[in-house]
Amino acid sequence: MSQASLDQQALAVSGQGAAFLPDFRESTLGTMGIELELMVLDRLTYDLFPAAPDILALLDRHDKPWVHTPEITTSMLEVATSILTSYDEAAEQLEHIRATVQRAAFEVGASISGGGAHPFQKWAEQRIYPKERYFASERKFGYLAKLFTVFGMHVHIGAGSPDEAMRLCSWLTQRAPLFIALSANSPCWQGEVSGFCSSRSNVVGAFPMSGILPYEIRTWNDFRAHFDQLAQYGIVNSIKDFYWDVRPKPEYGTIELRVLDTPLKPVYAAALACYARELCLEFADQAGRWPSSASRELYTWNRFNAARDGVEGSWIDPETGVAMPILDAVHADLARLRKRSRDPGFGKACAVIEQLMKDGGQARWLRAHLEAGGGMNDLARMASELFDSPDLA
Amino acid sequence: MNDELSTPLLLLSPLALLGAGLMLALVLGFTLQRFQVPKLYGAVIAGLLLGASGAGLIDRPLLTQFQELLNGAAALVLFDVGRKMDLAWLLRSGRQGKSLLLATLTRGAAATLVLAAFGLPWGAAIFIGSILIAVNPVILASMVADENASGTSTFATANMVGISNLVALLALGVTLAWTRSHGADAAGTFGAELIRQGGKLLLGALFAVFSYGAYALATRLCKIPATMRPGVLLAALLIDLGLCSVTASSALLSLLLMGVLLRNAEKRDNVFQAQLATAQDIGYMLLFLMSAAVVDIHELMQGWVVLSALAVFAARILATRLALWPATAWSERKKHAMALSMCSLVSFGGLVVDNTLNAYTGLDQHSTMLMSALLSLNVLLAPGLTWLGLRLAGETYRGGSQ
Repeated sequence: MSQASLDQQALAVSGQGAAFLPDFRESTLGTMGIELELMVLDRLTYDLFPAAPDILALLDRHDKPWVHTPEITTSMLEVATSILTSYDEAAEQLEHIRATVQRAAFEVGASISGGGAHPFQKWAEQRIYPKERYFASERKFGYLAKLFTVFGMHVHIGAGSPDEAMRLCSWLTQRAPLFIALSANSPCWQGEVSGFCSSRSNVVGAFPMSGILPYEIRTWNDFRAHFDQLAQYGIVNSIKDFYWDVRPKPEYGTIELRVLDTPLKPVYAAALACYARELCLEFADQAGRWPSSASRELYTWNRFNAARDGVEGSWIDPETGVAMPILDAVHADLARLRKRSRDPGFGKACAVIEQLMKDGGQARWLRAHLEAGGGMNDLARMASELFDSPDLA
Repeated sequence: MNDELSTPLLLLSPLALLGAGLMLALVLGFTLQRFQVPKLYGAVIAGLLLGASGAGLIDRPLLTQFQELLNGAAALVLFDVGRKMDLAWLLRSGRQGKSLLLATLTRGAAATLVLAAFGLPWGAAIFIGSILIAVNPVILASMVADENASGTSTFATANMVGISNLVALLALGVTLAWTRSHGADAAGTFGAELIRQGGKLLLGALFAVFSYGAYALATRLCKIPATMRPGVLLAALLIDLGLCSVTASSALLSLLLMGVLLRNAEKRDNVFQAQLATAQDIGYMLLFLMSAAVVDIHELMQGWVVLSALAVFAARILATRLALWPATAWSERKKHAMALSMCSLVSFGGLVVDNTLNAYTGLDQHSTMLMSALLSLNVLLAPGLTWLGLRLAGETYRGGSQ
């Protein structure tokens, strides 16, 4: 992207410039990048702790291949890997991120944790990050801005060309609920057991531009026309205004899977990202083929089930209409993908996911601690200690 | 009804008088808050109006009636201080933990040097200097709660309060022994007095370990869920306070250590740690009483006294700021803020719970006047400077939109 485009994009994102959608950048199919939104915690109470600005300032001093950025409130921070090509590379860089961020946080007296939603934080107590873009979000969305103190993992996958990006978006959207189930680890919300394995998933739905890519959009030009129309209405100003579960990211030349709770362990993040990447490579090999189902209701139902029941939920395959346990759907995917994957580490990624499913998912692990008499603070502490310990499984 | 009483009943009851004073303090505090003035100054002004500087309704003789209550409150404040000490962070954060310890020591040293420069005998300067190591937990905790301050410098400051009070308690044990063995009313040798003071501290520490052990045993034997533990903790604290009271051991060190043990040895107790707000809850009352009984505006009228007290204040702030210089985790602005936030000081009575309330009687008149002026300035100035520090750090929050 040229500097002029970058400037235009920045102004559009902050709401200070005209609506702008950059051209879709060509990229290498199947490369990937991982973004993690992390919790910053108080070391005494394990409540959210507004120390992200101090941690980010310390991270500025590090020379590293990955990047760190603020998020909407001061108890959140985001890290993003460089462009990755394999499971081993992803696991290694995520471990570097984990260790570096954990050390920086400790220096200022904070803890870091994964997880999709903090178990007992109060949204009203959160503080908007002191940056114009976030203040603009607060003006636009009101209390939803603070309510959005939830922590997700986004996976970017190189799409090759702009039109192919739209096709891959459409395919990956169908399977997005499986990723909600596999990553679900936010069983508590605002101090209560929510009855959902992923409470975070329900928060995104409050935003007007949440949802999925409309089925009728088949090319990048279709998408551009859609963007222009919404921009004309004043609904969107940049690609960041689309809170879709899977969306194109033109400046990177990627599609972005946005439904995952930030995993409690970075190794889960590496494994799940590789699973998404292998699915996209498989879709890419089926040139010109589009999903046959256009049912938003079916998608919403699958999404709801996955968020509520996690890996113990069921999923209706949009292509066949057959309902099946999520476990079976994922097992089948992994068995198929393992055979065709060219990533020598993908077998390890599959093993991590299989173990995760065998354990009943991260949400079950957290619920078991609550059922054993642990309190919400204790739950947050244990999640943070899990993040503290190195894991290169 | 007793028709013969010409004095209002309120004035006959010390408890009712305290209650009325606290109500006035709150009314003034909330009114001041509307004008962006820290609420804590309501307690200060109410104290000035009703205390030694004003109507003289609340003074030291009246407060001695509540000595046990006040001692318990002071000990609970120290428990809260200990609970906020994060030993793992202090020991492993490198330059950060070390700079806080350095700041603690340099603050005491700087105060001692300034006091000596203003003509105090070395013995008295060192004695007062050892008291001035400590940062006042009541002022800081109350201001943090009032301003809803939270962030990295607030965290570091809370740890600094813990270290400073711990170091001050230990240092005062030595300087008190020296002062008592060399003062006008000297009763024994330094060695004997040191053993006596050290024994009080040691016994306090042992009671802390014992009481914590009782707490840990009780919660584990009955497998009490975390949410039900506050009651057991209260019982353990009462045991600790009671044992310290009957043996004249250091209740402050004991409760401080109880807090440290609870924070650092227990992990599953966070559920109620989040709900405890001991210091904030009683801080307002204690500041009101400090203002009423300690501040004597007339004493502050003497130029040299005010000048020396202000110099000590400035030296402590400067020494703290210099000692924070090697730390790498905080911005310059936050370091300035922390030095300001840690300007408050404690009285002798804030470190040694006994019947002397706030003053130690073994000092010469010159030193006593200066200490008294320092305490008055502490009540008048420290809340404001602490408030300024918290604001400067950018860690206060009023809720709603920015």
